[in-house]
Amino acid sequence: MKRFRDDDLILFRYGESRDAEAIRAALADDPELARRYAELERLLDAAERWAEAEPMPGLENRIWRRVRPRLEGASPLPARRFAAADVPWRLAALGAMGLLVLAVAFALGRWSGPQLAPSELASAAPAVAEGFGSEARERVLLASVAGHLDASERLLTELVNRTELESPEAERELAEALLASNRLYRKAAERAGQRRIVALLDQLEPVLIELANAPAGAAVAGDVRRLVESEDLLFKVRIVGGRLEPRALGPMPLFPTTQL
Amino acid sequence: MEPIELAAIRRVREGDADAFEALVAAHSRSVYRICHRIVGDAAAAEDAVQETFLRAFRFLARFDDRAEFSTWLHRIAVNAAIDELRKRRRHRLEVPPAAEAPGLEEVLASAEPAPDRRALSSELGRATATALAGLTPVERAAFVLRHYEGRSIAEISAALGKRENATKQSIFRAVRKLRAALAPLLESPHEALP
Repeated sequence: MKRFRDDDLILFRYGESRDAEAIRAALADDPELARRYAELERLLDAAERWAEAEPMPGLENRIWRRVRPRLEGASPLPARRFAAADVPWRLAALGAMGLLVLAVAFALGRWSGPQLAPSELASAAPAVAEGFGSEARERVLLASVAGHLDASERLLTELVNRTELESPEAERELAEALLASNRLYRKAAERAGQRRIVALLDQLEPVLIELANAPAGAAVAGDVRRLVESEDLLFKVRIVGGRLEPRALGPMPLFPTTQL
Repeated sequence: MEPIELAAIRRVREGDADAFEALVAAHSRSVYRICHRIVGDAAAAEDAVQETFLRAFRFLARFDDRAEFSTWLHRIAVNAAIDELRKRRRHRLEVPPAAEAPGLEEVLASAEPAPDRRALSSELGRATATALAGLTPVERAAFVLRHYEGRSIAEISAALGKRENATKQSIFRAVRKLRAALAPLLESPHEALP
C-alpha cells in the first residue's frame, strides 16, 4: 500500500489531492493514517477559531475619502501602453540572450540538441572544446557576459526609474531568463578566473531572483529597487559591461580550429 | 458582472474618476477581509485596501470586461496586502494586534487546563493569529486564501504569480508552523471543542 505523507493529507483535506480515492481507502484500512488525519483535521478546525475581523464602521466612505484625492494625478493607464513601449526590447533581449547562451554552449563544446539547460552547460565547462584557443574562449565569455549585462542594465534601469507597474509578466519572464544565464556565466567566469565578474554576477543574482519570483499584479518591487540603489548595482553593471565590450571584440575564429 | 459595475468601469475609463466610488463601495468589505487575513492588523488592512483600489484604478484599462471584476480586484488585493506586510516588517512597525494576539508564550503559558471551552476557543484564535504572524508573507497569503477564502491552489498560484508546486509548498510550511504553535493547546484536556 502506498504510504501517504502529511502533505498528501493536507491536499486531501482541501480537496486538491489527485490520490483522493486511494487516500480514502487507506484511511479506512490504516488506523495510524486515520489518526494522523484526525490530528490534521483538529489542527485546521482549530485555526477556524481565528475569527474574521469586521472593519470599523464606515469603511467604504473612509477608503473613498483616502483614495479620491489620489486619483487626480493617477489617470488610468492606457490598455496597450506596455505592449507598444516595452515588448520590442524585451523580446530583443530574450532573443539576444538565447544567442549568447548558444555562443557559450558552442564555445564549451556542449551543443547537443534543441535543449539547453544552463546548469548542464555550466557543469560541462571542464570539458571545454579543444577547438577554441583560450583567447577565443575568453572572448566568447566576455562577449556573452557583456550582452548579459546589457540586458540586465536595461531591466534595472527600468526598475529604478519606474514608479508604476508596467509589465510584470514580461519582466518576470526576462528576469527568469537572465537568472539562468547569470548562473551559467558566473560559473564560466569563476573557472576563467574572472573574479570581478564573478563578484558582480553574485550581486546581480539576488535581484534577479526577487524579480523572477515577484508576485503577479504586484506594484514595483520597492525593496528590490532599494537593493539595486544601495549597492550601486546599476552603475557597476553599466561600467563593467562597458569595459567588457572592447575586450570582447577582436579577431575571433568563426569556427573552432579543430573539429568538435 | 453586474451591469451597474460594468457601467461604472466604462465611465472611469472614459475619464470620470467619481464613477470609481461605486466600485469602492461595492468591494471595500470583501477586499478588507482578504487584506486583514493577510496582514493581521486593522490599520494595515485599510492601507492595503486603499492601495488595492489605487492600483485597480491605474490598471482598469487592462481589466478584461469578460472576467469577474471581484476576482481581478482580489488578486490585486492579495499582492497589495503582501506588499503592505513586507513593508511593515521591514520597518519593524508591525505590531501583533494586541486585542487579538498576545505573545504565543503568553497564550501557551495560560493553557494549563483552561477554565472552559469558550476560553480555550478564544485562546486558539489568538494562538492562530500569533502563529500566522510568524509566517512569511507568501506562506501566510497562500494559507489564508486556501483555508479561509476557499480558493483553489490554481487560483492562488495565479494570484501570487507562483507555480502550483511552489504554492503547495507554501501551504505545507504554513500548516507545519501552525501545528508547532497550536499543538500544545490541542493536547490539553479540552481539545474536543464543540
